Amino acid sequence: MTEIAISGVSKSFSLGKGEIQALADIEITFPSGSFTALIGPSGCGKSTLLRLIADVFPPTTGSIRVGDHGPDAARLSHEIGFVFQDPTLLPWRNVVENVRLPAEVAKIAPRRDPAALTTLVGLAGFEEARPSQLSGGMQQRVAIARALALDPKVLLMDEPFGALDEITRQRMNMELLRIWKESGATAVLVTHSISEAVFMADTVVVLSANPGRVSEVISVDLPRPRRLDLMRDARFNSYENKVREALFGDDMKVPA
Amino acid sequence: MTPAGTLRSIAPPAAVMVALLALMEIAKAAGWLPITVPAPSQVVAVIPAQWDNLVYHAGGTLRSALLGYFAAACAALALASLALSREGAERPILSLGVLIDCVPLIALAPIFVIWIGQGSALYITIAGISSFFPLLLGTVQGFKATDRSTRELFHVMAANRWQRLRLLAVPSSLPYLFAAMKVAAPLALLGTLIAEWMGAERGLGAMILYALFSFNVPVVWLTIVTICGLSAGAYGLIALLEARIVNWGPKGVSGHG
Ligand SMILES: Nc1ncnc2c1ncn2[C@@H]1O[C@H](COP(=O)(O)OP(=O)(O)O)[C@@H](O)[C@H]1O
Ligand SMILES: [Mg+2]
Repeated sequence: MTEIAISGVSKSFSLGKGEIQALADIEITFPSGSFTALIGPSGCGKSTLLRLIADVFPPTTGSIRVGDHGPDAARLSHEIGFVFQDPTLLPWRNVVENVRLPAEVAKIAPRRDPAALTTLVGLAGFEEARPSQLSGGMQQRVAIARALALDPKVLLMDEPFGALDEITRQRMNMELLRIWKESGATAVLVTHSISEAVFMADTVVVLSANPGRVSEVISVDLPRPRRLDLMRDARFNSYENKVREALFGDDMKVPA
Repeated sequence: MTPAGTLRSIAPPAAVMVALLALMEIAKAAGWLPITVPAPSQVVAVIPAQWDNLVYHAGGTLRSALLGYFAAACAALALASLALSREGAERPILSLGVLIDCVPLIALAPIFVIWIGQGSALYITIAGISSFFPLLLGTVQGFKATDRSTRELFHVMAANRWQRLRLLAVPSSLPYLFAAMKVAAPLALLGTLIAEWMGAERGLGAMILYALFSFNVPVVWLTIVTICGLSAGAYGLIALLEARIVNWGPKGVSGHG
């Protein structure tokens, strides 16, 4: 059971002489095994929130729990898988070697077989390929396989498919849902896309900027496994509209 | 590279060289070249008699250049580590490097003669100084060559300092290190040569001076060709090593989709 609980969290960065508040008064609970999407305008602190959960830096105020302990303990016991916006593969390692990296660093046997993971993300036959020989979408799949190598209890993804075209992205999202379901991890996905957020998540957390705050939490009560034809469903569209409303508010009525 | 590929990349410059040499030979025979420029065949003709001499002097130069180069690499490594481990240390250290690089060695060499006298210590010092800056710059750039997300990845994976160095920082820096090493190797040889002109008894710099004083034009040219050969050889050797080790191609080469 790995629930992520964030309470009273704010985060400020010092910027030259001044300070910039990236996040304020964040209260969110991500239930164990749930899939949550974070959506909001650029600079509202989505990446900062993921980095706080992954213990890249500590919050300025407030507390974060990952399962039974703090983010630092979760990170040190390799319970966190992180997929960055860019693939961040090591170009001198081939696909399987990249997937094996977390286990190598942790000095433990991979909790999932790297070759099997490579197959799971649809890259069977590319085990020996170098990242420079792969397309952007394939590289990002390697990054996902790597994030799963130690069977993390928490899977954090920061716009993992942001650089991909709509079609590839849709396909990758379907695969991601399948992988997530099978892994049982608590997943948090940062996205810019309203339909992606609704399609993927149990809960969509809408953030507003300056400083980043939670402006709305929308539960998406749609059946799983999700299928693409769900997007034609009226309920799907009404969830999209709710998210849109939360993002734009009164601006919705202002003419262009 | 395949043998055929190597041939294809070497053949054109080799052909140009051969053509140029043939042209020189003809020009000399026709009497178009001044007395200070010998025919290539004249230079080749002195090789048997000069061989032992050449090996002796080239050996001295190579030794000094190599030691100076090695010392410069160690200093660059130490200073680059210092530059990046202390906040605000990078600028002053790089400025020092630029300063050293800007002082003309030919002016500096006599001063060093006064300080440390003649002998291999002088040649090694000058060789080191002349190859230092590119090595420093390359090492600093190389150590900075990791991007923020990859460093964060290593943090999230709970990698220790040693793992970060071995698995990330060192491999990332290699392309920069090799680029610097290639540029610096001929500079070390050139520096040695300049130092030897201050009055060495052994070294290609000394050999060229002896030949000049006795107006032995083919031997002067033989020395020049040897120096070029050594420089190109050093460069080529490092390039070969680089092709062996840095075989992963530039980062971010891939397309999307
Ligand atoms: N390491 C940092 N140092 C200083 N400021 C930062 C840092 N990381 C993020 N910020 C600032 O915090 C705010 C939120 O950034 P970020 O979390 O990246 O937003 P998002 O991912 O939603 O686009 C931005 O104003 C950004 O400039
Ligand atoms: Mg971001």
